[in-house]
Amino acid sequence: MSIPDSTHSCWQKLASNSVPGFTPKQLALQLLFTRLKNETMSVRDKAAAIHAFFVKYEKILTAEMNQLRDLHQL
Amino acid sequence: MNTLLSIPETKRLIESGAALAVAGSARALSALPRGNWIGGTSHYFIGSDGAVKSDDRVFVTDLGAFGPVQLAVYGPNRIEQLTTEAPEHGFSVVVIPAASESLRRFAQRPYTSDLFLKAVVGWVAGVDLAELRTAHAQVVDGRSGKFETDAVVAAHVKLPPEKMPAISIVNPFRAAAADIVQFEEPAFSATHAQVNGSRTALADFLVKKGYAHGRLPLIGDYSGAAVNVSIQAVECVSGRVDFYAPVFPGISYRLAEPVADYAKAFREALQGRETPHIALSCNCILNYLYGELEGKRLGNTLGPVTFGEIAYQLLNQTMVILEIV
Repeated sequence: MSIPDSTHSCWQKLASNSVPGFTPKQLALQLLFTRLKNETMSVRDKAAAIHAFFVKYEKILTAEMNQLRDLHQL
Repeated sequence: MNTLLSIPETKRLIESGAALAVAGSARALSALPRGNWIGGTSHYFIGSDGAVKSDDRVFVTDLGAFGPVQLAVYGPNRIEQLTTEAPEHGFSVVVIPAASESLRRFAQRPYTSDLFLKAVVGWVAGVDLAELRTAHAQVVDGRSGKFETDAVVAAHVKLPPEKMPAISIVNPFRAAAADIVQFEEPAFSATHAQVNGSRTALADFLVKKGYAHGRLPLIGDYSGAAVNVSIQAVECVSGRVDFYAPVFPGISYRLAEPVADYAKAFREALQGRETPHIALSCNCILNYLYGELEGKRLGNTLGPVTFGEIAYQLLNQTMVILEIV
């Protein structure tokens, strides 16, 4: 499964914590999510940060991608 | 290679041009020739025969086996350069002295876009527990042989495109369900915290709960990752509580439940991990001490026993593992 484009709605939903049931498994993504929650950045910038992480670490984010598919976000 | 070696064995490796991360006593590190290595003081190790204390062997990780290595040293005023200079595709191994300004600044780095995009892993150099009050943790730049008490030594390793760093943690503790502790500002110490929503004198709370001994950490919930912050001291008179890593606002912390058998907890958590993928690991001196790990095997993760662990950020009482997949 390829990573959706940066304009896909899933990134903004993840950035605004509006994907109930999504539980990241990779440590770096867990730390990133937590850090972003507490940053005063725009949702758009947070979404871009999450998208960049998924693009770079696609190989080890299979579980997270499957979750997004199962949660009907893709 | 990720193993305990004698000093002559390590000398030969350095003289062959290998790029290494080395953990050992100051005396052992001083005996090594100049070369392409970084190091830090550590007297305790998880070896293939179990956890040991040794002043005449060193723990060696061959980083050159994974790709080109570039070494760097960052003083406390240049910490932010670390992730800037880290490779776009690879990982960075860092060693930082305990109780240093460099460690304090590393642990409280502000968010930047590459903070979690670049894999930073490593450990905090320590001292012999018998010399806790007199000795200073040190790091070494092997190129110059220079020891530092306040700097970060780093090895930036580029990986081939088909390889990927994966940093994970093994936490032997479980969070107790009761009592949510939250802090108002990022700090290595606090006098008050919100406990279950009420502003509370933290030292009194920890004493009342039986946690003033510092053996059990607070566990922060980072989107499902259990991140430990160890309690260094509880000052009942001043009310100040010191931590070995900073606490942060916006994180819910819980008290850790006691662990009956640390070695078993680690072994169970490590079942199924494939040794060839493990590039390096480290484990906490507090686990070694309170878990009475000396002589015990913890599975196939070998490495130094350290005064703090680094997996993107500073952690406590945790095993950190870097796998190349």
